[in-house]
Amino acid sequence: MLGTKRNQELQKQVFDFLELIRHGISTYDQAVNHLLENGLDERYDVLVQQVHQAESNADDVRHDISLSLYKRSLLPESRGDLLSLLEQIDRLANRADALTYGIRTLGLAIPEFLRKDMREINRLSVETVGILLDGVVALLGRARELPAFARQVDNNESLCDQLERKMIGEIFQGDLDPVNRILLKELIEDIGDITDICENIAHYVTIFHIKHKI
Amino acid sequence: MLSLFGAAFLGWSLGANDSANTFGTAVSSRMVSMKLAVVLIAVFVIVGAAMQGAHGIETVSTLSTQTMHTAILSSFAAAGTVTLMTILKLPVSTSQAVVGAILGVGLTAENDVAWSKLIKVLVCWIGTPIGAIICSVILWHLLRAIIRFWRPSIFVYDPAMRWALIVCGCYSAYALGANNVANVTAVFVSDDLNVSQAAMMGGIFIAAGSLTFGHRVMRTVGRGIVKLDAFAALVAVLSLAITVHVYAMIGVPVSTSQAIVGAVIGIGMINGLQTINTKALRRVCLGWVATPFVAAFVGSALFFLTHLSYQP
Repeated sequence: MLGTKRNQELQKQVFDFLELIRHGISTYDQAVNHLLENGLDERYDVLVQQVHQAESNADDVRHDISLSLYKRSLLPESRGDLLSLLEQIDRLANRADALTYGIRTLGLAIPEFLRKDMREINRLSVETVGILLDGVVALLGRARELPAFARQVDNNESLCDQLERKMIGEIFQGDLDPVNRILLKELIEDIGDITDICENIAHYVTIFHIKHKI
Repeated sequence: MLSLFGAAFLGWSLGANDSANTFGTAVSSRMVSMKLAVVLIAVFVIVGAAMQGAHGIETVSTLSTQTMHTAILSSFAAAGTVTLMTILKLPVSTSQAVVGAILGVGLTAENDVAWSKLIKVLVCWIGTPIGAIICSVILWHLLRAIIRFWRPSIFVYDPAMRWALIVCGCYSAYALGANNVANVTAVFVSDDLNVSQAAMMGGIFIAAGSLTFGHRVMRTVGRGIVKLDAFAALVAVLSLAITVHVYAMIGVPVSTSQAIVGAVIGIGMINGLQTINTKALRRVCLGWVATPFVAAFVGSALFFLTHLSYQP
């Protein structure tokens, strides 16, 4: 009725997309923790493949959403805003995929002195993605209200930044060879980028909410 | 039939111009296709004219006693004024042009003028933008309260807004036909053309304007209106429809343009007076004040010119 059936399908697609991102990040979390516990092994490769599959599936769903949106599913201003939001969220899955694949390709071994902080920065990143996705679900759901998630995302991003600087400092104080130093520094920066992306999306979600509030 | 040429031209230009006020927002926001919009306008204008156009026709046809000659002159004077004001890029009301032209021709011809009805018309003209302002303020708060209580997701809200814009567009097209048909054929009501026939004929003329040329004006005007978001656009169109429909029931033709400008001002007042473009508003006011006087002058001049005779 009233053309809402098509939009209900669209809503389902959007929530499916968010679930795929959540699944991809969760698998990425498992992969990083497995790496820190067991190093690079076959199980890690399986997890890398699963992260890639989730990213690829999310891309497919996002493509379908784009097509649905241009079949006059939503008001034009909503179409553009929603598409932009999903594109930004998709960057999280891309980053997770690139990170896990990069570690495998470069054969990076994480030094013992970095592992505790790396677990923590990873935990913070994954937690921030979860908070963000909960916020997006609340925004696009019936409530159309946002929990106070932007502040939490901002706090986590600050903590990640502090940890990132500390870890990079430790990398360059240690006895690692120069190539490993550079590679590990980039790895830490890439993990830290996840919360930066989350922070940018959180700002966008806040603006989206204000713009569409009646 | 040839004498109705002026009415046909006036009806056509009214349909072409005022269609944008009814569906401009829905079309330019790409919620409704142009083809569907002009067909809906045409249908609902004719329905409105046929069902509720008689009151306005009775008012306008009795403003001043008419002969076929003065009716044709009034019709051409109004059409000429609308064209002139459009060239000067001043907002113009066909209703004001028609009434101004009838009075100009009537006074010059020394015909009887129904002053009490004229005062009623003047009061309604002033009341149109004010009524639309009040209507839009009330509707804004009422609809917002409903939506906040309903709390739909964006996936429910957007199609609901789309359908609301279509329904309100149809309603405003109905109100346009019911109210403005008097401008088109009222002066031709006579023993040969009764009120019902005049209403139907006028409705068809307006619908023809919408079908043939409405899309061009809609593209231009719609872009200006769509700066409002969907909710504000809905409030504006519904305020226009209610205001114009009320005056159709009272039996006084008023301007849909004045109603939509009033509605937008009302929305601007809610969002902060600084959002109102005062320069544009001054131009609108100038157009409103000037139109009846220019039409009266043109009507009077036409009557004078057609009664010149050579006396050796």
